[in-house]
Amino acid sequence: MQSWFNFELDGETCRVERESTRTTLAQFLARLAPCFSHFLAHDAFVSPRLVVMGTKENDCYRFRVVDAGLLLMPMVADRQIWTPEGIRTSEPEHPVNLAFLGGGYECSRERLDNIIALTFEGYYRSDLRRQGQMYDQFDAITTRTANPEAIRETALQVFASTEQLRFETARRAERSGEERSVWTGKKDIFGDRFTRHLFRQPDRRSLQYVDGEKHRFFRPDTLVDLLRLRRDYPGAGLIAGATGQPHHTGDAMPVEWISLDAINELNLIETKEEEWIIGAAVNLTQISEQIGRECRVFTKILRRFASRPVRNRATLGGSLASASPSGQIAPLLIALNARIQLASSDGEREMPVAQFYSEGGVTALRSGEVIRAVVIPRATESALSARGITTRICDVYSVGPRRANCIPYMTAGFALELRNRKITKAWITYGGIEKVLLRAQEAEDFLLGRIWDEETMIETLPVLHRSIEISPDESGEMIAAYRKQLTGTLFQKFYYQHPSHNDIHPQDLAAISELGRLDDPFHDSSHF
Amino acid sequence: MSASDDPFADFYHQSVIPSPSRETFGERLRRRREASDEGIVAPDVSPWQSRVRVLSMIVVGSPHHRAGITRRNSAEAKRVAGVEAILFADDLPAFRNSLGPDFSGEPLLAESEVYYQGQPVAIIVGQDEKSCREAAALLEIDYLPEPPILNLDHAIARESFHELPRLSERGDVLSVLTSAPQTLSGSFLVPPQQPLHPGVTEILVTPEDGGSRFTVKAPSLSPTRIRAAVARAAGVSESDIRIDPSPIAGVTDALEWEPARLAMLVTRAAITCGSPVALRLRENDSSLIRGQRHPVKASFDVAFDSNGRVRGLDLRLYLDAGYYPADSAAVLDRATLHADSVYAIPHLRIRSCLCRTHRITSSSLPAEGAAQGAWVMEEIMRRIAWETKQAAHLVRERNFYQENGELKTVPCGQPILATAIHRAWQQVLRLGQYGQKIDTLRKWNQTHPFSKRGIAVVPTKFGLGDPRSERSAATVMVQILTDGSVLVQVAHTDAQDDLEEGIRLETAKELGIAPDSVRVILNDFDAFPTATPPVGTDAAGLIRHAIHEACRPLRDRLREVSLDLFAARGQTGISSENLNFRDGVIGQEISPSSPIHFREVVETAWAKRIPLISIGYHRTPNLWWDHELGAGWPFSSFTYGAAMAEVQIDTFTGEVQILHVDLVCEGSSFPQSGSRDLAQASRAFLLGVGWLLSEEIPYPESDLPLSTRPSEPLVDLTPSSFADAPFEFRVERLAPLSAAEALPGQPCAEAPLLLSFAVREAILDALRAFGMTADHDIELPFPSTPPAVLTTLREISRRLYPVPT
Repeated sequence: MQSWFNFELDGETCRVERESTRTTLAQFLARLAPCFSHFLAHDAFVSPRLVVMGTKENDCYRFRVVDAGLLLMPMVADRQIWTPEGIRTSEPEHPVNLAFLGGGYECSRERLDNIIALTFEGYYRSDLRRQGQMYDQFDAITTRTANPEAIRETALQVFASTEQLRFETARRAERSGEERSVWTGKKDIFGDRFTRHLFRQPDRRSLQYVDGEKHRFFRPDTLVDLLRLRRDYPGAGLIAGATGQPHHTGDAMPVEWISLDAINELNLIETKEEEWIIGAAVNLTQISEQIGRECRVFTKILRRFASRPVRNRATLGGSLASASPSGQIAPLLIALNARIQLASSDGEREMPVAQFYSEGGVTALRSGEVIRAVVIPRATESALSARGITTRICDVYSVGPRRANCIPYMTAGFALELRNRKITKAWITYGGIEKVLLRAQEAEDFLLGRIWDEETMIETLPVLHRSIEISPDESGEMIAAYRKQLTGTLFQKFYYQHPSHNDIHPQDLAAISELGRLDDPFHDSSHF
Repeated sequence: MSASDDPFADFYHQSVIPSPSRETFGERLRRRREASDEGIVAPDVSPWQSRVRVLSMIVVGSPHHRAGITRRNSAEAKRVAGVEAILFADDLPAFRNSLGPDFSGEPLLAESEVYYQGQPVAIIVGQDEKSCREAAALLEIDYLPEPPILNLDHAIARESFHELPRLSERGDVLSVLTSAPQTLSGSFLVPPQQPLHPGVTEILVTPEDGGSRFTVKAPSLSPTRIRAAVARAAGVSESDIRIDPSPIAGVTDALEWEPARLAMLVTRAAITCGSPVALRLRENDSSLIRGQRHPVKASFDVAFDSNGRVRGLDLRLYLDAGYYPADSAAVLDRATLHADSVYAIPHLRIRSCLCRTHRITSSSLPAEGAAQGAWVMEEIMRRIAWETKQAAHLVRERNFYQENGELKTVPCGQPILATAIHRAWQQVLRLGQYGQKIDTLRKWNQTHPFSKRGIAVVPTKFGLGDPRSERSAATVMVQILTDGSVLVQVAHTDAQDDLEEGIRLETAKELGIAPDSVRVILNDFDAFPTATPPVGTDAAGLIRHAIHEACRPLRDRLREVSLDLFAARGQTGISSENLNFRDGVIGQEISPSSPIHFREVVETAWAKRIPLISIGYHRTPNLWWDHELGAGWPFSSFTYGAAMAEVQIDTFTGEVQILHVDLVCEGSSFPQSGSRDLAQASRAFLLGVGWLLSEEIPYPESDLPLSTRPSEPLVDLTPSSFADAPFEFRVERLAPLSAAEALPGQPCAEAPLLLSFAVREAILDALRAFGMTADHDIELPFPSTPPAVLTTLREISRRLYPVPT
């Protein structure tokens, strides 16, 4: 056990000794220097305190915006952290710093810092192409004191400049025959102070840390070690993204933490012919980057999942194991017919996600067991035809008081497998109502063998209405009635967006696809 | 004079701070002995500890909305380790147990009755918050609950009013209403909105010099009000209170009144314990820090012709002022004064009532009162348009004040600029390409059965200032230092919204120097007795005028010095009026050759002992308002604007997406600060959008006491995030008629909030595309959350396709 660790803060090594495992990065920074004192006033929803973390994911180097109030100190061991203050002072001539020199963006320096951190991440983001994605990049910002239009205009210029840089590098690389490496984050095309540091990042090693109060923090680097630790410390909390960490306050916080950060198996996405195997500790943003192009429903639901800094940390495993009350992930995975791989010292087992939860949000996890990976089958033509299916229609809808950064009223996942228009299997799940999941078993059975058309859809509605009961919880009668209505209307929406078997890809919200500008690229490469 | 002759003797005795000059050594000794006899022992802390420790405190609030207090006992609670003091109303000198004139008779701690949930009943001071909470659990307070009044309907039915209704009248409404061909009646409620405090609100009071002076740190929009309140609570003069400003982000980040109440409580705790006391409140902890906008219920009878032109309107406004109104009367006046909006209604009567409920209300969010008033009128206009089956924007336009119309003033008598209303209106129609858009929208709606779009245009006039004329004043101190750099001190709270930049540019322009050499100091409340409140005043406009006032004498003095310097160079015959200040030099306008450097003049002035400090004070002249007459000149001027919004509704979920917003408003009084204007306009607009669309506050509140409520209803108050922002947001400055036309003050922070009503109107326009008409008599509730919209859609389909029985 060691009682210290290092991390890199704003480009310099910072040694942390005997710091409590319960301290968050925000609290640590607030104590460290007066210029970080505002980090103390942290609130995950209203005033997140954002910093940029340099990470290495699947051999790609990335900057990810994270909320310093949601990171426990030992989690940043061996990591690179850039605070907005550090970004400003380290390279004042950086495009992001130059762009935000004027006023009129936000009402205070601290809140402008969040915008700078988010723009900084966007500057290095490889998949930021369309103006519409700006809503997804900046959704952590509340608009009561901000000026979205000015932020959008400025960010547009920043992102266009990076797009141009990428394009030029790609063209140069094309000539030398190594085009692919330019876009993936495997090669430093920026060559600035920040990326030079990023590419020097060490691999994550195992860590055994104990703080002054004898609280322990383990970061094993193999699954075997993890299972052993799980056996030795049955009361230990598993920690991956830690976005649910504020729920464990004070005495409820475990004495030992086991971090999944350094275990290679849990941090990998494997793409196979018929399925993706996604490690339990892979963050949602990374999954969306890797499979989102093919599995668009995943990207769609992520757009409405919390906010960018949370998505950058939250994991599939964490969301499933903690039976997350917002319930957005489980309906998605069930609609995708995903399976879950569990591992323990007794061996491994696999089950459909649909069977992972029993009554009241209790999971099937046995003591000492961990979620290893989530397997999502790919709906490729060959995979479907091998099972005798002609089409798989799948869509997920999340409805909330706001588009992002909120607890949704409901998330509904629908999927149908058709053989020549006849339904062979159906999945209808609603999340976020009661503990975790509501499965419309009766309606699913009703659909079997029927032709997928308007008549079937209308006939299913009374079945849904009858079989699903929603009791008013703490959110009141009106919301309960609304949810009840949604169980039917969302199914209708599902039908009208996918009336035929040809229409596999879910459409985005009509408003977005209708507005040309949002679909415009930041930078028009046709000029070159 | 003997002690018994002293008419203030009672006052001295009740004051907790002993007056040292009057108490002899013997008396002090006796007091000490008596105290120890009664078991009051000084807390056992070392002198060092007493200097560095900061005590924590919690406020124990009433769990009931209305109740009598039958018994209070703190004996058990006092035994908790770490608790320093527990105070009830009886423990405070009766003379001091009052919040003072601002809170109309509210006691600091409830005496025999409580009148709203959360009303402070006791304060517990301890070494940490945990021990205070432990003690709070052991506190024995018996209540005898009584049925409360929690909503406006109940208050109106019970005739529970604070005062007689206020009346604003023009023409003869009653005869018009009885003889009109078409009339319409209705009523609706504009719900409250809650400000949002991120994280923890901390109020810290530090007694100094043995309790004769205090330093107060509290986030507030109006720190000078806090100073007055703390001075009153402590029984010291205002000059003994120092304000340590807390940073606030934007005018929605702090409150104006609530911190004063809390600061007084903390002051009493600090006096009792003789050491610094900090009160930390999370938003959910207490209603005392929450504050809300005033809910308003409007009911109306309106007469109009077939074109939708309004002949007469009888409007009743009921405003929930809670049990102890703070500035509710002023809010009511603002609502009344904005209720005619931009419409020339020949026969108008507005009766406004201040209702007394068992709640706590407050205000300090931008456009409080004005928004409720103007929205009521816009809602009525739309109902008329639907009733007469006319396009809403045409009905609005027909009712505008006309330049050559008979009505040249608003009902209170202040003149209105009809041309500006029309110009703003035309400009926004042009900017948003209304005609073109409405065609594409109709086509879009025909081809999209499951989502509909709606569009609406809304005009506004906004009164700059406040019926409380004492707020409309600003003070500025300008000092020129020896090297020619300039310090500007402004009596204003720094909301970090770039006002500083405007002040810097304005001062630099006045003195003809580079903006870099000007430093602006906001938030310094030791220099000035009062500060200009950032909301409810034309702060930027007033400050700008005050800067002019301050710089004029400075320029005059420097001119004299430059004349001497010119004379020394042999240049005589220069008249001081011809001397100009520009680009860091002072010289003649006609022959700008060989000017003198500003810095050189300043150095000479200092050498000659010419004072280079000047105070500028500006108040808007001739403001008056008499609410009994319903007449006056309450605003320094009106500012005009208009907005157009386009939205899309999803039939299946009721979700609303704002597609476009085009906004035209008058520019700020700092003409250079273009980006600030746009920022302020966008912030104010989006604040209004949150109120109208998503921020749902339970109103009326549950009448159950806190402890027996199953659990707090899930109130989701997070304001809209970037993802909800309109896809396109264009702001344009209202083009001035001529270059000479003076721009009025700073409308951007408040007036655009009124315009956010365009979003609600656009939603209703979209609902109309779904088939909703006036005959259906369906109301879209405020705020239009997805559940509310979906319920309305369902109601529409029920009326359109009734199920056969």
